[in-house]
Amino acid sequence: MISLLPDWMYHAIEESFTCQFVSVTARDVPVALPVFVHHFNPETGTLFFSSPSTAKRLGNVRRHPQVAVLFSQAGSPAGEPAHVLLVQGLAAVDDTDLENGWKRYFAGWARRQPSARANLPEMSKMMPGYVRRAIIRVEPARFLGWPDGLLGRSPEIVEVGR
Amino acid sequence: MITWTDELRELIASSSRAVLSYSGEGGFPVGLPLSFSFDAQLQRFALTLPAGYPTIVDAQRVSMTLLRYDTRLANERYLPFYGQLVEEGGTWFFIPSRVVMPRWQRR
Repeated sequence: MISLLPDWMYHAIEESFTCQFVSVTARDVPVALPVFVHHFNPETGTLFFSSPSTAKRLGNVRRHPQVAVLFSQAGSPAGEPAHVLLVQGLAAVDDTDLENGWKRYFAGWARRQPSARANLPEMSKMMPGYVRRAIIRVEPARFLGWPDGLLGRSPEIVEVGR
Repeated sequence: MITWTDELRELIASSSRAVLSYSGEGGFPVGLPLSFSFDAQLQRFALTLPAGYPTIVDAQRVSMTLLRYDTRLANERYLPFYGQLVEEGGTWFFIPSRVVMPRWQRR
């Protein structure tokens, strides 16, 4: 179990629309792409995502498990918090059940993007591998951020001791 | 080498924010949300990094993803650039060398 985080950090994780998943490419360049958090375990700090089984992100994670997840305002109409939170951690890919494993966490994705549930059939037609998805679990090592998005101030940092 | 087409310039102009990604300490990458300004003449982006930003371990292998919220998609559109960071006179600049046009933007 991780230590209790400041409330604003839970707020940022649970109420942000998308987040930016930062993985390291085969050329050793970190790159951020938007994803939807599926599930956050507040006791362990573990973040859950899924990606199509052919996504480059999965190869990036297998090659370089250190990743980062950035929570900040995306500009959606959903009333997102202004906090900026960076979670750095170790990621692992679970591809043991591409057909159904990710569905255990889909409700969290659909909560953030309600159209996702209705769009799944169409997406699977446009991209046949879209619904064959591997799970990515991120175990946090550090939470670092700026409450209320006040980037002119030094960040608050929580190191995860295990 | 980037071909600076009108389409690309329009995509840059329509982006509302950017995420700068670089290698931090301990092998962990860093992602920071930034506002930016694009210099079309010099073809580079001026950035303001937040206070206390994590150490930049490798300024030569950096990316910057431009983002904007699309109300029709109810999702974010993104445009990743790869390049390097340089500091001049106290200001950080991202100098792009490659851009990846996502499939939905290709004609």
